Amino acid sequence: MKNNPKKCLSCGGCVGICPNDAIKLENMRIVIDKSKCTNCGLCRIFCPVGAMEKENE
Amino acid sequence: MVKIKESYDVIVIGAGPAGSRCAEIMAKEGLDVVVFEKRPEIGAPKRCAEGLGTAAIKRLGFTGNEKFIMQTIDGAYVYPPDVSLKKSIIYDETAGYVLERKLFDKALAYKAAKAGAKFFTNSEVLDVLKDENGKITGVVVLRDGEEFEVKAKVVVSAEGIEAKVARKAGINTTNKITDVDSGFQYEMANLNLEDPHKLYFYLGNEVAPRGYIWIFPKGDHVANVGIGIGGNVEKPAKYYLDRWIEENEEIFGEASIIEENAGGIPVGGLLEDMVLDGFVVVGDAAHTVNPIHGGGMDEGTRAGEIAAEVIVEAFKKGDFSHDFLAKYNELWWNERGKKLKKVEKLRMVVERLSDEDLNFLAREMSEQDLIDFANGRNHIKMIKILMKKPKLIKLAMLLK
Repeated sequence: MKNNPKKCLSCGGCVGICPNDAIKLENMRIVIDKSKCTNCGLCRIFCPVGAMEKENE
Repeated sequence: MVKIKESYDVIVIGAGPAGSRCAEIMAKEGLDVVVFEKRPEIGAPKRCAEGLGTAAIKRLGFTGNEKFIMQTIDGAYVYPPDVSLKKSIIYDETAGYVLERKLFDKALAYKAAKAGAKFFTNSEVLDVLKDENGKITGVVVLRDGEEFEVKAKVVVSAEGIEAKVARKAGINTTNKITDVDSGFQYEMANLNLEDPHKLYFYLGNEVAPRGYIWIFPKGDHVANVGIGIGGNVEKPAKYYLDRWIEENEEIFGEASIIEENAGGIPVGGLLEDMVLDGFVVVGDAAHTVNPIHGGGMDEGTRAGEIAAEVIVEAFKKGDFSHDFLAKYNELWWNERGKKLKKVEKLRMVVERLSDEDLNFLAREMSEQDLIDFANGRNHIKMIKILMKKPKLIKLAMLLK
C-alpha cells in the first residue's frame, strides 16, 4: 500500500487496524513498512479520507 | 528538568486524557511518574467530537467553569432516517459540555504535573525493554533525535488507537475492521443551528452506514460536524459527510471550515486481559470506548483511574507480576466492561437494521429508552420492541 500525504490527516487509524503491524505514524507522517505490508487493502477501506492506495493503482 | 532520568517508578505512554489522569493519581500517591507524548503539543490534533458529561467533568475534579468548556449542553436531538420521527431529549439543567480538547488535555496534564508527574512532549516511545523472564522493565524513547533507555517497574500504554508499543510488548490490540469506526470531522463556523445547546445525531444507512453523523456545538454558531461509519464501509467517511453537508443548505449554507480531523474509533473488541508482567494498557489502546456512541474520554479516564489504583497497590506490595496487575482486569470488567459488553451487543444489533427498521424503532421507543440503551440499561425493553417485528426476532436473540 501507499499513502497519499496530500490527503492524509495523520490520524493513525490505519496503524491500529493493520493486521501486519506494517504502518506507523512517524513525525506525524504515515510510514509503511514494505517488508511487512501484504497489500491487503484493509487500510484503504478503513481510511476516513481515502488517503491509502494499492501499490499498483 | 528538561532531561529524562534513567529510571522512574512508572512510565506512561501518551498524554491523552487516559494517560494524564492515570499519571495524576499515581503521582498523588507518591509514585515517581513520567509521561511521554510523541506529539509536539498535548491535545492536538484532536480526534474527537469533544463532548463530555457533567458527571465525568466532576469525577475528574473539575467544576464546569474551566476555560476548556466551550458550550453547555442540555439535551439532544436524534434523527432517524425519517427525520419527522425526531426524538428530543431535553434536560432542565446542564447535562454535559462540549470542550476544547487543546485546553482540556493540557488542563489534565497541568493537574498531573502539579501532582508531581513529569511530562515530555515530542518524545516517542519506540519499544519496550524486557528482562530474561519477559517482564517489561522499561522503554526505549526517542527524543531530540536521540534514543534513551528508561527503566520503570510498570509501563502504562495510553497510546490511543495506534497502540504500537502495546503490540510490541505482547498484547494484541489490533482493531478488527468490524470493531472500529472510521471517523471524520470538520470544525465549522457560521452555522445556522436550531438550538446551539443541543447535540444532534443523524442515523441511517444512507446518511452514515453503521454509524451516525453528529453536530456538537462549541458555541452559538460554531460546531464539530462529524461522522463515524463502519470501518469496513467501502467509501471514505469524508465522502458521506461532504454529501450530507451539501444536502443540508439550511444549516450549512453560509458555513466555513475551521479545522479537519480524522480518526479510528474502537467501538468493540474489548480485551479480556489488559496486562503483562510490568505492563498495563488503558483507554483507546485497550478499546475502552462506549461502543454505541464511540465516546472515549469518559471510559478512558475511568480505565486510567482503575489502573492507577492497582499500580499504587502493586508498589505497596512490591509485586508487578501479571497476576497482581490482573486485578485491574477484574475491577475494570466489573465496573465497566460488563456494561460495555452489553452496549457492544446492542451496537451489533443496531448496525444490522435497515432504515425502515430504524424508523420502526423510533416510533416504538421513548426518549428515556434511548438514553437507557446507550448506557447499557434496559435491554429487556429493547428485546420486547424488536420481538414485535417477526424479521427482527433473530436480532432480539442476540441481546439475550
